[in-house]
Amino acid sequence: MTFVLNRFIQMLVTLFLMATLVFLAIRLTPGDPAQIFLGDVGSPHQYESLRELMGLDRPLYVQYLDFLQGLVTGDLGESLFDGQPVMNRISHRILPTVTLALTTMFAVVLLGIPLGLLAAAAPGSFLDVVIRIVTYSIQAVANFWLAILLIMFFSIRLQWFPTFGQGGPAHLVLPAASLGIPFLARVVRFVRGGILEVLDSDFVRTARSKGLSRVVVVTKHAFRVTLIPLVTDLGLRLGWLLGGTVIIETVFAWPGLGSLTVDAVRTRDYPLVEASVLILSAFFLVTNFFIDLSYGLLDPRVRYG
Amino acid sequence: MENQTNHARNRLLVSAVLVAALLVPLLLFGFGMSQSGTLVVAHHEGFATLDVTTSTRRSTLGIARVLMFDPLILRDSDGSFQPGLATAWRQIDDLTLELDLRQGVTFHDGTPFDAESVRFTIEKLLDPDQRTAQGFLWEGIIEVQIINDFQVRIVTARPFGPLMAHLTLGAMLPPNFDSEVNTSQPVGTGPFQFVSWSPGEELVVEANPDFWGDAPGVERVVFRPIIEDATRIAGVMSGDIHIAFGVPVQLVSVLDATADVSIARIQSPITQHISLGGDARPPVGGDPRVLQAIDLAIDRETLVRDIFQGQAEMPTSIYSPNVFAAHPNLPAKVYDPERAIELLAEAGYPDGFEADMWYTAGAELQIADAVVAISQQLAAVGIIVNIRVAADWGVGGPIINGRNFDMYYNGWATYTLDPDFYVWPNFHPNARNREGTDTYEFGAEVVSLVEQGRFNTDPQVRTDAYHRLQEILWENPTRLPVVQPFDLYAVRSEVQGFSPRSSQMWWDLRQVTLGN
Amino acid sequence: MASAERYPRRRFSLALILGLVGVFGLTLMVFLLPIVFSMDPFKIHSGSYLLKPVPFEGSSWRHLLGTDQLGRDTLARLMIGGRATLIIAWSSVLLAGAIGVVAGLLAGYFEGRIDVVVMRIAEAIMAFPMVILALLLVATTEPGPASLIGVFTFVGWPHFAKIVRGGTIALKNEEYVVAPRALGAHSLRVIFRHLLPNVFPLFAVMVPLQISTIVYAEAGLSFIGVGIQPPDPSWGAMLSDGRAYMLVTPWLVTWPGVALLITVLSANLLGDSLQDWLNPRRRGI
Repeated sequence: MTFVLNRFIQMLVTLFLMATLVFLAIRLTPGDPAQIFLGDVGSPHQYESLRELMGLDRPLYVQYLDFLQGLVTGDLGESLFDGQPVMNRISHRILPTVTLALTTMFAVVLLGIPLGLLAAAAPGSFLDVVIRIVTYSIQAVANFWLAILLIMFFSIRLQWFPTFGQGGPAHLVLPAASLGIPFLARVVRFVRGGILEVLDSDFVRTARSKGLSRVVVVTKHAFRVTLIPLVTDLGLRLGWLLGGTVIIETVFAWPGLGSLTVDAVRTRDYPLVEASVLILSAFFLVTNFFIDLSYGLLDPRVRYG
Repeated sequence: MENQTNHARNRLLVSAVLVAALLVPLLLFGFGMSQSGTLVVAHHEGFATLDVTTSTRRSTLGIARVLMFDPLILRDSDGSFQPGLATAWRQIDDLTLELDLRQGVTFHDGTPFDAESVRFTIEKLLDPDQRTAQGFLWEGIIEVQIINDFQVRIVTARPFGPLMAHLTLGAMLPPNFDSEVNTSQPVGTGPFQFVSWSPGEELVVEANPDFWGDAPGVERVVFRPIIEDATRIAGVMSGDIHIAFGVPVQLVSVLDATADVSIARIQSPITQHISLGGDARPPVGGDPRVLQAIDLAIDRETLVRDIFQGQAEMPTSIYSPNVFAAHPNLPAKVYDPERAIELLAEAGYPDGFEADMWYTAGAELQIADAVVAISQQLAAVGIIVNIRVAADWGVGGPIINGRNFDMYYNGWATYTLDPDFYVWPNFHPNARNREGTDTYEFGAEVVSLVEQGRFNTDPQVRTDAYHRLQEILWENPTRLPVVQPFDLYAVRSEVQGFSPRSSQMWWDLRQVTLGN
Repeated sequence: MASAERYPRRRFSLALILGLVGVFGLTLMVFLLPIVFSMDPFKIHSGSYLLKPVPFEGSSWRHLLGTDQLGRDTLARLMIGGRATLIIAWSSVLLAGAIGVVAGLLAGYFEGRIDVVVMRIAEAIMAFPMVILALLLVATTEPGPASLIGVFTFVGWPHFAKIVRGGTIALKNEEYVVAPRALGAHSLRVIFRHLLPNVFPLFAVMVPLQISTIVYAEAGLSFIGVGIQPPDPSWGAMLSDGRAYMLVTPWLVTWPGVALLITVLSANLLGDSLQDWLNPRRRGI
């Protein structure tokens, strides 16, 4: 239990530091937010009243305490546009993003593990070389480019899937594929590499020399050892995935937090930017916290101290 | 033996997982069918609010208002006034307009529409505490007199020429109107009633069964703001969207050649122009010769041909020809870069100068392309333009009200088709939604002509005043009209009965039906 | 079977060569081609918009890769856009590298309070999804190349700091560090004379991998309109603009996509094969 508590406290500390960073980013970067919001064409009067509205006229520590108090009470400020609490706009955007990210993750794992195992079947063969080259290249494909290509072929030419928005689950296919395909390539490589590494290790050699078949060794021993690094990598890659949703949601007009963040950045709606960045990042952090905890389930050798 | 069993079991497992993984998207695909009777419309501008009493944005006024509300007076497709919630009207004297109201109309919540609702609405629009960009439309009115439940008189302080035209924008509100509720769940008398709204995602409305006019031809309308041109157009091509506003001009021929899509086109009341900040620094803001030089350096014909691909017209005046009292025969704008260079030299800038030109991202189609092209044309006479992009918010935002910028390229739509909608906020120092306009120098004659046009009910007097005003502003511009673009809609073939209107404020979905 | 495989010799692999050629070839190309052929990415060629590349119907040798919706030459825009991308990527990686190496060396050498402060900040930055933090920072500055460099430096340095700190802690009890310290050499001298050269490979390996991350992130930000601003070309913005016209000419979205792919791929190849080269026990690409 101490382990869980320790990790939890660590997570809270990181969360606090992240929030501080978000707070400072808006206020201490070279540009003056009120000035940038007005596009340096607003009148001095507008500038002053906007600073007042944003609370920028108060001393920094007062703003900070206020910000922290807001975080604890769930009040993340009001939009500069309509004066509505930003949480109103954010709350119904969370689920679509979580759906998109988790569906992608789920599909990638579901396809990536078997494909990775297959790829590890015959190291050094011609097929293996092809798989390695293809997956290595696909890893480097920009997901927003992939999104354009997928729309071009599957929505417009073949009219299989809708081009945008949220509706039936069919709407999920192209955004998830754009995010997932480069990611899938990575997972396949990761599983393949991990399995081969383990197969090369001494304990597997021992097992093999005892006459256990390659298949048994792979599934019973090698795969279990590969699982923890894989899950860790998936957790870290969730950050990359969330970064991807920001752009992919914009392409597909997917009504999630990512496209909301982009809108907020484009319109310089700072309270909304702060809140949505924080929530996306917290989601990342919390997921990784649970991944840490899950090690115990995956590997009996890990005991919560 | 054991090896083989293991092997088989393992293969089975792997294939089961694979099949499951492949089935998931297929299963999901099965749920994706759309409902029939639902019309999907996409626009390139999102709603900031559904509050039709404060916004002048075309998304709010042109879509939310048109779908869910009715004005007292409507405009027909040819621009003539038609009965809305008022069935008849007469000018009793110069200051009083009497209206007979339609009987038996109810709001979506069941509240009956009557004279009280008219008074409530107009008083609300006049409320000085209401920070509304529409203020200038209504400020001529001093009082609404109730004669009986279905007859009212609108009284103005001075004769108010544009009253009828402006009334076409006024959405009638129920007297139990609640600002809090109405910004997110509007209640009107219109052909469609509110179902749901997710900002940035969709507005859903359904046919109002008790609508006073002909029942709408579709059960539901889903309106989706899709800012990305490519996504919007791809949606029309793939059949996800039935009607899309805003077609990039380069795609007109492609969409026209697509079997299931056609382009609907109409002259819009929009003029794209270069305006100056009230505090524009010299050189741009100082010497009128500099502005004339800029005017002469813009090759509008090339812009119309290359940037707008013929989907726009050369400006015939400061506002578009379908607006009331548009001047019929002003001389065409001349492109004369040599004269521009001379003028710049006379003004003391033989080597040109540098200046900023702003535009609002996403506000108008082709706007970014036009700014790029103009910046090159100006570079040819020595004016180096730094292109600056403002955050996405359009007319009425602080940018247009702020004053210390050099040049701003934007479109101004004269939505009511009455020139007052354009000239009052732009050329009169007292315009209510403008801040500290005292440094503008329009000249006494300009100001007096703007007033003559507004404070007269005689169409001939107004026409003469506006003609003279257009002549003055044509010769001594304070803003440079650049082009008058067309409104372009992409429409799927299954949509029947859609015809674009001259102002996006009156586009109409009542007659639209969905066939196959 | 595999004692030879387990301890292979360091050698120049095909991947390393491809990576080197890719990264340096691209850099040379985007800097030299526009000068040699005096390309103008802004010139609007009246009447020749949305041309297809040679040899397709309607193409022109004057516009080898075609033109965009305004009639601007795609090749010129690709080159000048690539130039901006590479300048931003290289400057921010080198700046982030410099800051990260110094921070990592100090934190690793002194440990204690400096270490805690530096690494906590670094961890907080790394706890954000990278693109999202970049987006936050971009929102607070005027968009443009300079602010992008600032943003990417800020999000990039912790990666260098973390790895250099680890290397420093591992190396600082080696004889060549302990000996001069025992002889009374100044800490800073020990750090920069003796430790720096030994942690340098850690830095070198990170560079290409960070380059590829940043090229990708910059393209993404420009794609959604908050990176490089028009009329300046960038691959991300070209992809975004070209989308609307993919029905007329899919080439407009093909070229910048391929350019991005080649850049990121060769930077990855370089980074991964450098890693293999320094650490022969690692499994190859």
